[in-house]
Amino acid sequence: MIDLERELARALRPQEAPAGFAERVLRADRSRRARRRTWLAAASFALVLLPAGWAYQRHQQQQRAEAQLRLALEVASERLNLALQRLNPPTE
Amino acid sequence: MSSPLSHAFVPAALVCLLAALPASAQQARLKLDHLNALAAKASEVVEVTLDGQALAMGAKFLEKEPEARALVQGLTGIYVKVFEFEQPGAYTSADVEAIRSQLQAPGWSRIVQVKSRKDGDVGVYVLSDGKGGNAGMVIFVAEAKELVVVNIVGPIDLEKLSSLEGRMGIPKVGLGKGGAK
Repeated sequence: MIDLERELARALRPQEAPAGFAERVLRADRSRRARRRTWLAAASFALVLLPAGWAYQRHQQQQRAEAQLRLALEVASERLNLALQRLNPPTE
Repeated sequence: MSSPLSHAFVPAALVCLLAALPASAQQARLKLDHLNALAAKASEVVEVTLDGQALAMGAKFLEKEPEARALVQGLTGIYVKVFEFEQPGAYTSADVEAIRSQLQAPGWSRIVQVKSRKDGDVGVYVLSDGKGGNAGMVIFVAEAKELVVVNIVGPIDLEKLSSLEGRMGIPKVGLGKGGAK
């Protein structure tokens, strides 16, 4: 019993931290915080950038579709009129 | 009361009905893939493929042209191919026949045809919807140095389409001599 108490007392006796321990802990904490900040910045950036990118892409698609439709209607009407004109050439 | 035959008949009838519904749309769209090879020989190419979502998206932005917007409202597709060549003979009669044969299918009728040695062959074809209206149209121009196919899928008002010329905010597309006025 006494041996056990002695062993416990020996195991639990206060020990001096190794030299530079506090510095290493602080450095590790700083590095962890810096990593977290980087991730947060990246996530915020992505949250802003992704919808903006999506909106830009959508806008490009809309513009392309509109331009194509305008072109298609112009060609169609022009060619239709050309056919009608050839069918009934204007008399001078 | 329900026999095994009726169990088989109902789904089959439904399948037939569903297949028949878009038949006119399928028929109104020409197969033009064989013309893609001409792009390499052409000096100028205009190709437009607008269907489904792209067509609806484009129509949404025709705010300043309500007539054009209304015109494309019921359409399901617009396909344009314009090839202009430096020299005659760039396309073959097989290229042309592949289009003409599709326009000989039931329902199609030619409403305009102009054939001349000078100006080539110009045709306007309309697909009947069987109810007095149309389900699509094709404008086909085969000139010595130019081949044009405009395929509109869906009901189209030809008079309104004709009135749109020069109003779509696009400089004159008139490629080739035929388009020049």
